[in-house]
Amino acid sequence: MALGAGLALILSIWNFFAPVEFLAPTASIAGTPAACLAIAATLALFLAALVLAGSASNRLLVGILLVGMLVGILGTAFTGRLIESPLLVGLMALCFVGWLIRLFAPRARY
Amino acid sequence: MRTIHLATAAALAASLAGPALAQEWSTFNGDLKAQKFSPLDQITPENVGTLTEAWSLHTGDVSDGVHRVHGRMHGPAGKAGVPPPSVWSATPLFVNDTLYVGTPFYRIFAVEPDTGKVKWTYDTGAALEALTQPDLKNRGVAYWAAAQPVDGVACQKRIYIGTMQAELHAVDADTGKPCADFGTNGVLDFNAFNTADSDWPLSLLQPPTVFGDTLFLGWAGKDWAEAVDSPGSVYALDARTGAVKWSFDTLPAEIRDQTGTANVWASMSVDPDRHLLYIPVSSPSPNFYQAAVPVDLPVVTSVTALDTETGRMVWSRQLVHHDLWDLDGNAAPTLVDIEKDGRTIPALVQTSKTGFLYVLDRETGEPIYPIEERPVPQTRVPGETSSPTQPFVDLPKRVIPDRWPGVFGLADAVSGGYCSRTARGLLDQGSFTPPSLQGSIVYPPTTGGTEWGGGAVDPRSGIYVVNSSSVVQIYRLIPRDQYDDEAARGGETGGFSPMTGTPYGFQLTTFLNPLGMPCWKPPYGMIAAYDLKTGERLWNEPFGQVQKYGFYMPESWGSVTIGGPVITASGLVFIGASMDSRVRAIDLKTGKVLWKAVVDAPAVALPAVYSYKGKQYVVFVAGGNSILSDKVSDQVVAFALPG
Repeated sequence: MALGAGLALILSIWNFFAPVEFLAPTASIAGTPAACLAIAATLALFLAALVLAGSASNRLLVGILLVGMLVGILGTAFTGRLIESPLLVGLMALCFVGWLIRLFAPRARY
Repeated sequence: MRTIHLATAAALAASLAGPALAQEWSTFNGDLKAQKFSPLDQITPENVGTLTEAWSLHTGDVSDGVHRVHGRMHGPAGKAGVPPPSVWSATPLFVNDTLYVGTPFYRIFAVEPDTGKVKWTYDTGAALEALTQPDLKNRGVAYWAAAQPVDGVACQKRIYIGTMQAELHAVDADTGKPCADFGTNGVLDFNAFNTADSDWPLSLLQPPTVFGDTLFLGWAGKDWAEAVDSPGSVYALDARTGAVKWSFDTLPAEIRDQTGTANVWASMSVDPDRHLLYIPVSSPSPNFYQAAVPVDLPVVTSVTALDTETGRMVWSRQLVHHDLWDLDGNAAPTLVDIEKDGRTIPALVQTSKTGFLYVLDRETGEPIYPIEERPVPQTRVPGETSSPTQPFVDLPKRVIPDRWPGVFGLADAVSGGYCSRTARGLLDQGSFTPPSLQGSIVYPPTTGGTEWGGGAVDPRSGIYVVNSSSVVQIYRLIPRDQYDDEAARGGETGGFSPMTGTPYGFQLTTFLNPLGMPCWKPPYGMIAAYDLKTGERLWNEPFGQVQKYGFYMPESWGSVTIGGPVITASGLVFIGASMDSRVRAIDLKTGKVLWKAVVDAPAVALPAVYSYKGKQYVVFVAGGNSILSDKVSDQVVAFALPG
């Protein structure tokens, strides 16, 4: 999850500044509120993934983070769809896979 | 007649035979017939997917109306020295082995067509002020060349540009130096013709139409401000000196103290064989309350044919009677010969804000496909009268629905029922619902149907392509004693217009919910193709995408469109025109998008297609338009095949 969210954060920062989106040359969100939202969402996901990786023993915190991250992953994927960034959607799919693994293997560290 | 047709065919054949040579784009609409057709076929539906940017130029002439502009500034500007926003709708011309483009700061750029390198610039020195328009607008330049040029003498080829303050400048096309024999030292003060009203200048935003040694020129004014305004005369000027050859008055002398405008602010077309000039005439002032204007006043809101030599009116076809909606004739009619029932008919296609396509015999003005007078809703505003009928066209099919599409459930839901509540309180009687005191749902309104870009035609097949906008606006008349208070509360963006001299002011608002979402169902813009031989619509697709806050809405919603298409001989349609700052190539056969690219702002100008040194280019001006989005730019960008 942290890997996917970290890459998504880098992608979102790129998309904020670049005239066309990374690997999506027919779309542009440079300097827009949508680009800011993508940065904020992926940053939050990235930080949550890091916290989750170090909080396996606190079941309440883990539960809250997992629910919050699911909402974040789905919301960010929807944002990726609206800004026509298939790469962002793909990275959210990667995060979702990580989320599933974390859900069903709670003692693992990711 | 047969001789004329053979000559036309020979000219077309000659143009089709030479695509390997430099192929010009010599007028605002590509040619005098406003066909917007290029015989070039290097870029095809098969290879258009590889189209890449060949060059890009930034002129520096751009303003968002908020931030200071670095560069030239003439005269007083807006708040804190910031010029008004720029609206750049200039079609570049490719002639004289040079690409010429006018800017919204009223400069001319002469550019190398294969590199985008600037050869020279000319600065009119025009004040960057919103004199008659809320934005700094320019739709480009015009080109004239002497039929028998004199060696060693300047200004045998000229570029013309108009300004917001109504000056027409003529410069040498090779050097950019003013042509001293034109007007006064190269500048003609068009306001000298403004003898009827001096409140506002007659802005020259649309470049003149050039035919032979004559410039045909209309003007743009400050709409909706006053009941009595300058009459909308059209002028024929000597291309060398600027002297008036003739003028045509759209309004009869006896009512010029009661109304005004009915001007020609858009482009015109010319039938060079028949020596006929076709002018799209706008509606008379003050537009939304016309008690002082006779209901049966001819010529206004029409397409009208004039003799190019004398200005004599040959025929006039009114498109809207007693136009209470500002549904101007707003684009040059496209001239094309139609093969129908074994005959070749000299036709024209006139687009309109009404969304109808009027297909007329361009010699007589008579309809080729029926135009039917139908009863329409009548006004209940005290003092006002409606025309009992309006012209309707069933074939070709209207470019927009006949009635407004109804409340958009999503916009209604997220606004807590605002849209449906508001709609219930408005007057809604279908097409030609008149303005009212309670507020009327008007569809299509003054920003709907087809705008000044008009349509394009492939003259070989008679396939005609046109983009359109589906917009709902609310028209409300406000009694004079309440107007000032309401307008003051509404601020600059409230859509208020004083219509001074009438018992009413006016408010025009687009039907949006408080979140800014359209209250009517999508799609908001379409592009369609018609077979002019039968009137049949071949395809009709949502066009463009809405982009709001960076988010792209679904393609099926389309986008409001401003600007128009061009067609190439290889079966491609090139068009900008959408809100999403993209330019597209569309398959003429299917309407499917084959290629798209991002540019800096909505490309609301007609693109130009030309070839130079054996290579085909498609060039867009990406300047933006405040009706579509806040995004503005100063970019000229050319695309070509790689290599």
